[in-house]
Amino acid sequence: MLEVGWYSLKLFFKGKLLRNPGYFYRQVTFGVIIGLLLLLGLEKTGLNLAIVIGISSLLTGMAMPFLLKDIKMK
Amino acid sequence: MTEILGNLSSNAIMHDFLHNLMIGEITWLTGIFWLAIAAIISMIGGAIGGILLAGKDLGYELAALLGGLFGPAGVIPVAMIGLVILKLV
Repeated sequence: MLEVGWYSLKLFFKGKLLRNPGYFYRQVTFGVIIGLLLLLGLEKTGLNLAIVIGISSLLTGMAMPFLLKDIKMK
Repeated sequence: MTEILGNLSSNAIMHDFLHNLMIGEITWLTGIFWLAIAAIISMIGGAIGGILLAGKDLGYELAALLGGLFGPAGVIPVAMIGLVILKLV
């Protein structure tokens, strides 16, 4: 799994992985905004930082495949 | 185990780190620690999301793998920006 990840990361930074980078950046920005709202909102409720980080990264991580489902790779 | 923890917390840097971790204070060390935790949890979350989305079409292993790659792509910026905001605000 790490090998596949490393290989795709190298291709990504060479600009050879994605067929449509604009779509990728827009969807990632969308996901980041959702995640930030979740993180800051949970922090406002006064929970422990560990719980805040755990919940927000789990939920944002779960949302990312849905946001990026139409991605095209080369 | 308690002995190891006791020795660890007698080290000044380690003591500060554990203390800051407990009270939720964000420093460079705890920030990096939380970033690593967030990356690991987001991989798990991404794998779950990938399985929910495409487990039937792609096969569970491949779906989890792809999801595990997409998860951190979104969560690492969230953790970085979020921790900076929490630190400054």
